[in-house]
Amino acid sequence: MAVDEVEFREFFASQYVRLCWLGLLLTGDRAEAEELAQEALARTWWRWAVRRPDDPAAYARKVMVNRRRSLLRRAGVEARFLARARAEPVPPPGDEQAMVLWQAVQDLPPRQRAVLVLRFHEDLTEAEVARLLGLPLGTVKSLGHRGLARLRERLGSPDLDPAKATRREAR
Amino acid sequence: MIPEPQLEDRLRSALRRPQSTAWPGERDAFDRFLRHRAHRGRMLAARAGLALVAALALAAITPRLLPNGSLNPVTPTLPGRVLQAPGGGFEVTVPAGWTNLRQDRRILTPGGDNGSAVVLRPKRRAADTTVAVYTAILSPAQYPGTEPGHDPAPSATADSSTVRLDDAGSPLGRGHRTDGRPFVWQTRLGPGEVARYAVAWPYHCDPGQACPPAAPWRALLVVGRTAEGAATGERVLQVVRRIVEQARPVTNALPGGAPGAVDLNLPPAQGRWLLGSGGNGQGAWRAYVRQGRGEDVFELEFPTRTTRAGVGVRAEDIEPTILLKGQLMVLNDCLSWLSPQVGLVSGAVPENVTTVRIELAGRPPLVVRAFGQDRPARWAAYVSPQLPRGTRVTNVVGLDAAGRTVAEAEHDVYLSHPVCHIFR
Repeated sequence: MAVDEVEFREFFASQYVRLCWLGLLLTGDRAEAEELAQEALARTWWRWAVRRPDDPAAYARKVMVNRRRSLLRRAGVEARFLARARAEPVPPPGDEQAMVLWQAVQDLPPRQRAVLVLRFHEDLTEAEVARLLGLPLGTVKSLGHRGLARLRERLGSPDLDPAKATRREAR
Repeated sequence: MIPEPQLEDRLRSALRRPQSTAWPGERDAFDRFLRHRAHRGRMLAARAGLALVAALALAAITPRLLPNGSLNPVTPTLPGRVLQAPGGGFEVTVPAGWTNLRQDRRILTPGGDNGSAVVLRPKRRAADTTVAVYTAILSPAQYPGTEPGHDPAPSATADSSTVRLDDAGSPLGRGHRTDGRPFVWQTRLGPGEVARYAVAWPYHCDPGQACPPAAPWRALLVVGRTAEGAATGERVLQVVRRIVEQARPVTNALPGGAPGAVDLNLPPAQGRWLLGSGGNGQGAWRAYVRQGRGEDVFELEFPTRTTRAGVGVRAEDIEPTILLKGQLMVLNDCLSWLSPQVGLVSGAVPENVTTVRIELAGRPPLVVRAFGQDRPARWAAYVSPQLPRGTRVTNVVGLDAAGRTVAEAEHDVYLSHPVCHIFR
């Protein structure tokens, strides 16, 4: 199947910066984010050449998140070092509070960060995040909860508002 | 106090992409994409012929790596930045055109010191292209200098924490550095992996210290990877070989060793280990640590509740960086199926924690033993006795064998909430 180059170029223009930002939030590194975005779009193009994905934007996002995950999970002892070797985060433009929050998000463990970024940057539901990351819904909820708790601690919150607390118990 | 909705809103706002801000290089992005796509296309087209190219490349380099031969430096030694990994006992000079991705400063082994690995990447970005340098305990049967088919120390590294070079790759090549250190090497290990070298790099303990039997079997591993084509692969191979030849021993790799605790930086064994069990009847529990290639997980399983997969198990990721910073993992669970309801406080702890003091509001503290230190897992665990509903835990402290405080509870938002307290 031939790819409609005009359509793909429009798709590229609409998605490139969005994917770069998602990559930046996931990795904290601008160059790595660009590489991930380029790779995701290239893979999307090749997929498009076979059969146009139903939702190309979602497809590209999924490719990007999975690519990031596969880099983190790459087999071998040295991968443990690579996975934790994060580049210095690039703070976003914005006020000081946003920068503090951005830094706190970058300091989260990779899975907690991924869940929060997909929830609050991409506005996905927990179920959608679970599908995208290939994790059980309960795990996504737990990761999100702990990520928020960690942020709250980093931001100096003394405690959780009891009225909003969720009971945690072994199922 | 930051109520949850407010934090969520702030998060949404902080993570939002500023509409007015352009991404640097956005204008040329599509041109770069076309090059990227063309490159990927060439890679796909070339894949069929890649095996032949690899075979030819292997044939070309083999004469220089004949058994018991010496490895000549490919590139003349140039002054460059030196990266030292004191925990790993080596230092390397960064080759021209390369930079360090990050010198790792943490070892996952509890109590570990800093500096155990160096990961290099080309200054000019190339997909998944790295050379990782680190030390690990190698299987004695594969150790450089060991006769093929001979295992000189079958029991020295009997646990599963040794590294074995992949049997699925090419046969082990053998050689010596110009300073006489033997090495073994292997190529064609899997997708993306160019070569893996292991140089004899025995761990020298400080005289007077008990030296683990695995210490002589430590090796310096140099692993090259790339997702790019054969030309990049050849460049990576050259860097790998150069580091193999030029890496220098420091600290615990020199005779006389280095002061401080012996830390062989053993890679973690993989699997699920039962650390301990307790409780009875409907309140019986088993504590596990599950280690994999990614995250480690602490699991508290309630056998009478495991009616189907995923039920009756409280599983939480272990975050090594948190635990090694002197913080404790604290899970606060309600056994809601018991009448009256009771709670348990539990978690994984570093192995140097031998007892855990659970401080309670209005009641004397409870002291429980940490358990599971004898298992291959990297973590021990603790579980409290059953706590009546409404009990409030104020702090959890980890103590070592000398009774010193070595860890305190992470300020978890659930810590201070009464056990089995239901918010509506």
